Amino acid sequence: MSQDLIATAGLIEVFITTKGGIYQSDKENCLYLNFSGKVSKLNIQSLNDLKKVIDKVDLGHMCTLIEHADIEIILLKDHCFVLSGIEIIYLKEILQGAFTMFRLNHIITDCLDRLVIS
Amino acid sequence: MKDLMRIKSLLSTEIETLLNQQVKKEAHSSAIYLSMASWCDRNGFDGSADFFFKQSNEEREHQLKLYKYILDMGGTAISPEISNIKNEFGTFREVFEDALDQEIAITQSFKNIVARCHKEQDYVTLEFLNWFLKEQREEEYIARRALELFEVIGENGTGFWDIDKNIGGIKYSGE
Repeated sequence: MSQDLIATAGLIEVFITTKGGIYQSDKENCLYLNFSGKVSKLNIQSLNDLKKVIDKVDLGHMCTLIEHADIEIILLKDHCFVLSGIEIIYLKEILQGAFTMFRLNHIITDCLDRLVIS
Repeated sequence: MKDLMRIKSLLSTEIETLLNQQVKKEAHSSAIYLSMASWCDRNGFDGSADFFFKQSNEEREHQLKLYKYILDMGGTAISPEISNIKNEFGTFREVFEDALDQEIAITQSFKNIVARCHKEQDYVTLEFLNWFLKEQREEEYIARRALELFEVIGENGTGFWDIDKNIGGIKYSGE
């Protein structure tokens, strides 16, 4: 992902691996998924939907059946992802990491919101 | 960093999942009561058939109330798939035994969601669920009282006739 985009959109790194990552734009209230040479701009709902679809993929079934194409086509509202078995594993890791960070951020924000300001 | 998940929805993923499961359970309940109404009608218990039609509608209303809440709070409500509905019952009494089991299962399920709300300090959903807890008091009372009629009136002679006539009149007068 280009440093220019990160700087101009004011992106905050949420979670990255060697295969890709997720960045948040507070200015645009959206997320950028950098994966497999492609940058996709998603809202939190779409990212959540993508995670649900990825979590449901039966990798065992996908990789063991001879007649299976070994790719999964995922259609979201404005996006289409064509992923191999190994890419699904990589993306799953990124999404799990990002959602853990979202939860952590929520816990911290929640604690800060509850602080009594004296 | 903005909390985008919280901006999108008041509900946590876990609470949303539990509420969607509850939507499914209410839909399942509604379908079971409909099948009980059918069995009662086919076997000449018209009073009980009316009672179960009414119960089925109530469960459907509960389902929609939960469904609407999930959407209003910014969550994703999932329309449930319902299958494996029991359509045949051995006896008239068995229908009411199953109805009470059903209500007990629903109450337990609500208790589970409430426990999760306490854990997450989701007092908004907790306040919403209070209505259902109160409703379950009434639902369990009615189902238990219906079954009690089999003991009080008895199943011999015109017992079934009397039970069927009195089922519709069961009312919960508690606060």
